[in-house]
Amino acid sequence: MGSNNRTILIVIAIILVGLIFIGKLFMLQVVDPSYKFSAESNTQRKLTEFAARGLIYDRNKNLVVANQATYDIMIVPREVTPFDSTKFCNLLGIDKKHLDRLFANVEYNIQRRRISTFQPSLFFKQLSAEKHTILQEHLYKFPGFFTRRRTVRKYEYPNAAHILGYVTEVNDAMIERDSYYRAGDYAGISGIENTYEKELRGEKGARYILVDVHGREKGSLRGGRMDSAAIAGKDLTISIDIDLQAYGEKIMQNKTGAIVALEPSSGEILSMVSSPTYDPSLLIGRNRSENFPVLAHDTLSPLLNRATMSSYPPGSTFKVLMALMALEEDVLDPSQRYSCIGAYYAPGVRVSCRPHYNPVNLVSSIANSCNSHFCEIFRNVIDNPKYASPSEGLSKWREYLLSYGLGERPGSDLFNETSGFLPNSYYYDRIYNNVWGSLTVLSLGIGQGEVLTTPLQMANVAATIANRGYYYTPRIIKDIEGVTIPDKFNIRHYSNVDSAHYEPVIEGMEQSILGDFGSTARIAQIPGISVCGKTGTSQNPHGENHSVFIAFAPKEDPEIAIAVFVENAGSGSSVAAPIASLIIEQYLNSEIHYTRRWVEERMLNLNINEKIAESENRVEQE
Amino acid sequence: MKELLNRMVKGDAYIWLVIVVLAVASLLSVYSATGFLAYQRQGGNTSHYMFWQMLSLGLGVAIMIVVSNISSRYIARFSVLFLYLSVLLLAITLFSGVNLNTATRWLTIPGIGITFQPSEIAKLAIIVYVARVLAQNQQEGVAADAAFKPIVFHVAIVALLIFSENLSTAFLVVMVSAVMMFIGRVSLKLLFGSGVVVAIFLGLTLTLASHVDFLPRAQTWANRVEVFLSSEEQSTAASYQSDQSKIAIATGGILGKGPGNSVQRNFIPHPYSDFIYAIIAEEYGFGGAFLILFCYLILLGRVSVIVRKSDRTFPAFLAYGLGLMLVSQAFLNMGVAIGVFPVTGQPLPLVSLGTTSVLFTCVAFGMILGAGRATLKEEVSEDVESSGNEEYYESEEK
Repeated sequence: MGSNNRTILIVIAIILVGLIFIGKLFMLQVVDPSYKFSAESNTQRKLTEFAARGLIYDRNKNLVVANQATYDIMIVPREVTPFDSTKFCNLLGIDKKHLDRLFANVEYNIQRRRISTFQPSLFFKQLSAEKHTILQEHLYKFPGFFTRRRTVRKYEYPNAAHILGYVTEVNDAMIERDSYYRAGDYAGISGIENTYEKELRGEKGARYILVDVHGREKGSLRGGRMDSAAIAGKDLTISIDIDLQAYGEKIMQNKTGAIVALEPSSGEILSMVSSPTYDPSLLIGRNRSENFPVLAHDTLSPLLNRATMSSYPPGSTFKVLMALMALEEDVLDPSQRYSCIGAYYAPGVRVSCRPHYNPVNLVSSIANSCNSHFCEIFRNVIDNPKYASPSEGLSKWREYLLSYGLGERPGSDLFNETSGFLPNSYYYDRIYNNVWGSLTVLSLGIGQGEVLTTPLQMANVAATIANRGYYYTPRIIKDIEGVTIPDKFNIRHYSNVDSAHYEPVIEGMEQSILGDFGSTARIAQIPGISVCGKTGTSQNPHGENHSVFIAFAPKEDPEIAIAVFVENAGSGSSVAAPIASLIIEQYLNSEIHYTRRWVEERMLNLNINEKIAESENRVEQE
Repeated sequence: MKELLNRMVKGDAYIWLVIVVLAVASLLSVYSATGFLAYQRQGGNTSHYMFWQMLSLGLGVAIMIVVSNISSRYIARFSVLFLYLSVLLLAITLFSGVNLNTATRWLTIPGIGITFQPSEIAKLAIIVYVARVLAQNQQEGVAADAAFKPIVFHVAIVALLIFSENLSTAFLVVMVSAVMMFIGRVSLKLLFGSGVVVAIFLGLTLTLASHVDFLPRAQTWANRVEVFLSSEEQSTAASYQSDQSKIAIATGGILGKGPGNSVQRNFIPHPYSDFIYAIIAEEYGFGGAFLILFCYLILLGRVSVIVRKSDRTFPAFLAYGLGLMLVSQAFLNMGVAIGVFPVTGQPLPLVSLGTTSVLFTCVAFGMILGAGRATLKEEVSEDVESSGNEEYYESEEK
């Protein structure tokens, strides 16, 4: 057919493509060096050098959390030869079944091509240092196995578990969220280990090695010049006084509840006890997998941090807030005397009171915790003629409480916080179908009903009163090595109540301890220290009343503010007040006065959990 | 015996040379590239795959000789039958084929248990068919537009059956058919028109595939093209194959690492088929890579010579179409290895490991050689008996 123009066109096109290919080949093979260098990446491997986590000290520079070495046993499957498995099991402290399981796992991973038979992979996690010392002497008998050092936490005290939190292996979700993590890394999961994870974890290092085509190690790359050392994490100083913490935990043993002690002048948390608690060492390393489920299934929920996560009705401790807002609203004259007739009566309502001198003014009504007077005060706040409706009065009431940090998460650096609850008018509109007034919600005035607070929030209220009107956001951090602590902890939050109004209230709180017959917290008297406090007996649907106490001391220049909640322990004066006073005394005097040893002993021996268990058994038997 | 061999093995000497060079390159590089695979799967018998390839090539050469001795008239006569047979096989494969590497391209012959790719048969059958239809419609000074309709109809059927599982083969079939029609003097208007239709069809299908899940491989295509178009600086898991291939070619340098010294064969997936050109470039350097590429250019050159000398249209179109198919397939494979095209799985004709590919490539070579043999015979016969025109193919044309 001969060749026509079209044939020539096609031939030229194909020759052109051929020339382009030759050009590209020439570029790749002769001119451009970039891919020659990337060939190196196939023959080198990056090994991670783990960083030691930062240490944690308490406010007096006692070492609280340190590190200890554990050893992962690595296996290179191809190099393993038959060995004495009984001996191996004994050295690891495991039984034959467990060993079989470990080997089955290795085989499974080889089949799934997850691990290579030439390369080391993890065989057994976290052998203790003691066992490792013995194993090392015998390791030559077990070719194909070697050990790799890792550090885990070491707790110097069996205390402060909720504050410290724990460290464990990262999960997939965390790896997804933060590209720093690789599978097998450790990270803080709760507590301060979590909040300050970025500071504590340090910086992983890298070691580059040359490998052959099967991934076997063949020495370091370029004499180790590319390697980077791991940088240890920053050390933290926390505001906890570990001795006070230990004392608090001891005194709370066999009771359920929480103690929060703050330094009012800074918002630093001196002690935060949640009871029952656990020894943080239980959650280290291999023990964790055994102990965690036990703790998680305990009916008393020892893993729950009650200090920040449990909400309780504040009971009569709430009266100090009612008094403060009533003074600010100018609906309460501190000198006016009020006659209590053993109960507060209003159409259809009766709120009983306790025996005390009569009549009362503001100071003595706080000291005696007179319900009648505070029902009156509450009604005056809500039904204030300034406001068109009880709704508006309640909004005002809520606004005051918000300024004390109630009804909101405190925003501290503690791992988990709950906000408590402050009802608003919409809430009551829904419940009472828009028909309600101050009498309907009267119990709010004495800290009952719908209002809920956490121990941390009430400790913060105590600190605000101690400071005569302001508080710092509570915090656990005192100092981070080489880093300034966040600014949010240096801001004064003022309450909506003028500082002048605090004096009569503080006077009442002092009188509740120093006053005579009828004063609720005389047990909290400490020789030489003027303590100001307020008891609370919080009625709740779960059984016996919760015992509540908030306090600060000394009266002038307060150094400690405290809230104590003891679940189902009865009145505030019987349990929470003596416990709070012991903590204050221990902190300020470092010892308990001999005249108060009986109080300490009684509190130490008090076993409320057992009492509750007994009464529950009795109910069941009936 | 020698006489018989002489009589049977005829045809263009340069093409025979190309075949020998490619076959030797195939054995060397397959041996090198399959060492580890053979060690793993064949219990240490590192030459297992090379022997298998040697058998395939031997059988292929035998087939090649047989095919080259079949008269083009018979080939033309059976082209339609072959085409419909291959369409049937393609349909069976599409609905019941064996899934290999997530693409359903393989058909198991019942009873024997051998798997092969029907798309390889279809590729040959459609080219033979196109060559025949074009030859039938060649008239001096008139555009061959009458050929357009039947060709487009059959090419479309084959391409549609192939494309969902093997886009690159469908692309080759359509492109080679189009170029053949272009050379076969089908008017440009029709060719451009159908080009636009194909482009619209592809665009619509791919858009639909990204919303409705009916094309399982659409995501793979999208990824490969995306990787190809993305900046070459970052290497990701997705660009792993082409990066490793480029590393192989780059580290080969001018002189290469020497036979059997490839390092990258351990990092490139399928180093013995899709990326065999990278292994050749790594072991034999720029010279080796150039030689292979040059072989295919020679093939095309010799096909052009055959076409020019042939005064019968069917063998000319046949040789041209097959030559074009082999060369474009080779270019596609090489282009992927050197990173000019996105990753796709075309074997390098006669070099890559794979019996189906080798055998059908040999059939194609056989037909090209046959066409060449016919022209050689004509050169001789012109001297001897001037022209035996009644034997000519044109007599069959209407």
